[in-house]
Amino acid sequence: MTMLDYVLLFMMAGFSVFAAVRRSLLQCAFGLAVVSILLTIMMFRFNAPLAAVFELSVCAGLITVIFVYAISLSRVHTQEEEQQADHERKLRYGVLPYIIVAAGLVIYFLQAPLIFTAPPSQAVNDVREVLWNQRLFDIIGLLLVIMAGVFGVVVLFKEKDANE
Amino acid sequence: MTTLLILVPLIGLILVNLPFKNARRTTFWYAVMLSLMQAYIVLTSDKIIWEGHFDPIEEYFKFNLKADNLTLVMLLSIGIVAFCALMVAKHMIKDEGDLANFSNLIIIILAGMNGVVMTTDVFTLYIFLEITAVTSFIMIAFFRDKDALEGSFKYIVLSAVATVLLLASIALVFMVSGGTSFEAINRAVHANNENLILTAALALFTAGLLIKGGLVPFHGWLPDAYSSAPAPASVILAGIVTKTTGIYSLIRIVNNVFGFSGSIKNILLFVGIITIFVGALAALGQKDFKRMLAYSSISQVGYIVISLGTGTELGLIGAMFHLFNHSIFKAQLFVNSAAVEKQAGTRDLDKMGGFSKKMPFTGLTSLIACLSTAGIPPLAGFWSKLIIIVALWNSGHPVFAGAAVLASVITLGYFLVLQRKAFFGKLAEGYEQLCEAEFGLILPAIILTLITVAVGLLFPLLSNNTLIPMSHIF
Repeated sequence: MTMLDYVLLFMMAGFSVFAAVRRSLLQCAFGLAVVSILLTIMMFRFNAPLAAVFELSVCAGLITVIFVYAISLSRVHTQEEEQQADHERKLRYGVLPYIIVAAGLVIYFLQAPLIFTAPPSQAVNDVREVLWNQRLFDIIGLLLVIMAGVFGVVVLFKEKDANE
Repeated sequence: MTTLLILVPLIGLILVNLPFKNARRTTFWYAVMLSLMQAYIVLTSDKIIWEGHFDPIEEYFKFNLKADNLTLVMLLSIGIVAFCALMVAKHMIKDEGDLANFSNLIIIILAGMNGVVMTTDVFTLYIFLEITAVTSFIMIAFFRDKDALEGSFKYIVLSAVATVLLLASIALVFMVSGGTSFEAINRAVHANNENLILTAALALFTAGLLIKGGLVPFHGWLPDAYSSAPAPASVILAGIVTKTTGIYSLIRIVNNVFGFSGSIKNILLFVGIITIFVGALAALGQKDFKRMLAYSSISQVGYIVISLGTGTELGLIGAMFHLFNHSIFKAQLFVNSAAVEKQAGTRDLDKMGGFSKKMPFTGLTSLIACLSTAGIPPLAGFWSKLIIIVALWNSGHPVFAGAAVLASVITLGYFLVLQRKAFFGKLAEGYEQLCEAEFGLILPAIILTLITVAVGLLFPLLSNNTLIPMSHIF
C-alpha cells in the first residue's frame, strides 16, 4: 500500500463516521456517496475493477435511490427531538470505528482458517471491458432503478404538495 | 428475444415520458400492450427463439440471459398478472396523471421481474431484485395514506435487511468462486465441497430470499404491505412480485447454483410446513378481506417451499406448478377484493353479506378461486397440491404429506368463512343499491377463472407437454 492508499483509507473512515452521525439525511446520503466513490477508487487501484463496478452499482445506484425514497417518507423532527436523536446517534456510532479496528485486529491475529481452492485470477484492468462487455446488463438495471427512483419522487412529492 | 423483454420496456418507458403532447396518455396502453405481448409470445413462440443463437441484438448486447422452461412459466405469469393489475388500475385510479405514473411503475416492475427470471448471475439477480423492491415500495405508498406508508416502510426495513444478507452472500461467493455467474459458483461449489464460506453464503442468500418471499418467520411485512397497498398494487404484489423475487429466486439459486444438500432440504421442509400452518391459522382469524388473502398467500407459498424441500424432480414440478397456479388464483382473489371494495366501500367481512346476489360474477369467480386454492378437484390447485403431496410421500416424508393435507382443510375452512361472510346468505343491510363492478374490472377475474378451470381440466395434456419439461432446466 502506498501513502495515497492510506490517505484514501482514512478519508473513507472519516466520511463513514460523518455519514453515520450527521443529522441531515441528505448530508448522510452525501457522506455515503463519497465513501462509495473512495472505495471504488481503492478497488481500481488494487486491480479489482469488477469489485469496483459492483461497489459503484450498489452505492451509487441502489442505495441512493432507497435513501431518497426513505427521505421522502420521513417527517421533520422538532428541535427537541432532533437534539435527543443527535445525542443518541453519537453514543451509538461513536464507538463504531473502535469496533471495526478491533474486529480487524482479531481477524489479523487469529488468521481465521478460511480454506478454499482459490479461483484463477482474472486480470481485467480495463474498466471499459468490465462495464460494457461484462456488466452491461447491470448498467441497464441501474438505469431502471434510477427511473424507478425518479417516478417515486414524482409520485410521492406530488401527493405531499397536494396535502400541504 | 430475452434481450428484447428488457430493452423494449426500457426504451418504451423513455419514449412515453418524453414531453410530447399526449405522450403520457399512451403510457397505460403501452403497458397493456407490453404485458399482453409478453404472454402471447411465451405461449406461441418456438423454443428456439429463446436460446438466442440467431438474435443479432443479443450478439451486440452481451446480457447473458437464458430462458428455460422454468423461466417461460414465470414470464407467462408475469405477463398475465401485470395485465390484470393494469385493468384494475384503469378502474380504480381515476386521475389520468396518476394512472400514467402507475403504468410507468408497472413497466419498470415488469422489466425488473423479467430480469430476475432470465439472469444467470447472482449480482445481476440482486440488482433486478432491488428494481422490483424499489418499485414495490412506491406502488404500496402510491396514495400516501397512513396505513400504506406504514406498510411500505415495513417493507423497506425488512427489504434492507434482505439486501444486506444478499450482498454479504455475494461477497463471500465472489471470494471463493472468483465470479458471480451461476456457472462459476456452481463450479466452485463442486470444487470446494462442504466449504464453510460457501455454506455461510448459501445460508445468507436463502435467508435474504425468505424475507423477500414473506416466509415465516420473516413474514411480518407482508400482511401490512398487501392489505394497505392500492388494489392494483395488491394484485401485482400478491400475484407475482413476491413469488418472483422470493420464491422463484430461491428455486433457481438452490436448484442451479448451490444444489440440494441434506441441510438445505431440511431447512426448506421445516420453513415450508411452519409457513403453511402459521399463514393458514392466522387467516382463520382475519376480518379484513385483503388481510385474509395476504395470510392465505403466506400459507400457499409454504406449499411451494415444502415441495422444493423434497429435492426431487417431482417436487420441483410441484413447486413450479403451484407457483403458477397460486399467482393466477391469488391475483384473481385480489381482483375480486378490489371489485368488492370499489362497489361496497368496505373490506370488513363482518359488514358484508349476500353480495353474490348483487355481484354474481364477482361472487362466482371468487368462489372458484377459493376452491382452487383449497385444492378441490378438478381445479388447477387440486393438481398442484396433489403433486406436492405425492412428492413429499415419495421422498420419504409422510408426516409432512399428512400435514399438507390437513392444512388444505384449514384453507377450505377460512375460505368458506370468507365466502359465507361476503357472498352467501342474506344481503347485508344498507347494500340494497349494490351492483356488479364495471366490465373492465370483471374481465380480469373472468380471464383468471378461465385459466384456473382450463388448467385443471386440461391437466392430463399439460402434464406431458408443459409440466414434465419444466424440470429440464439449464
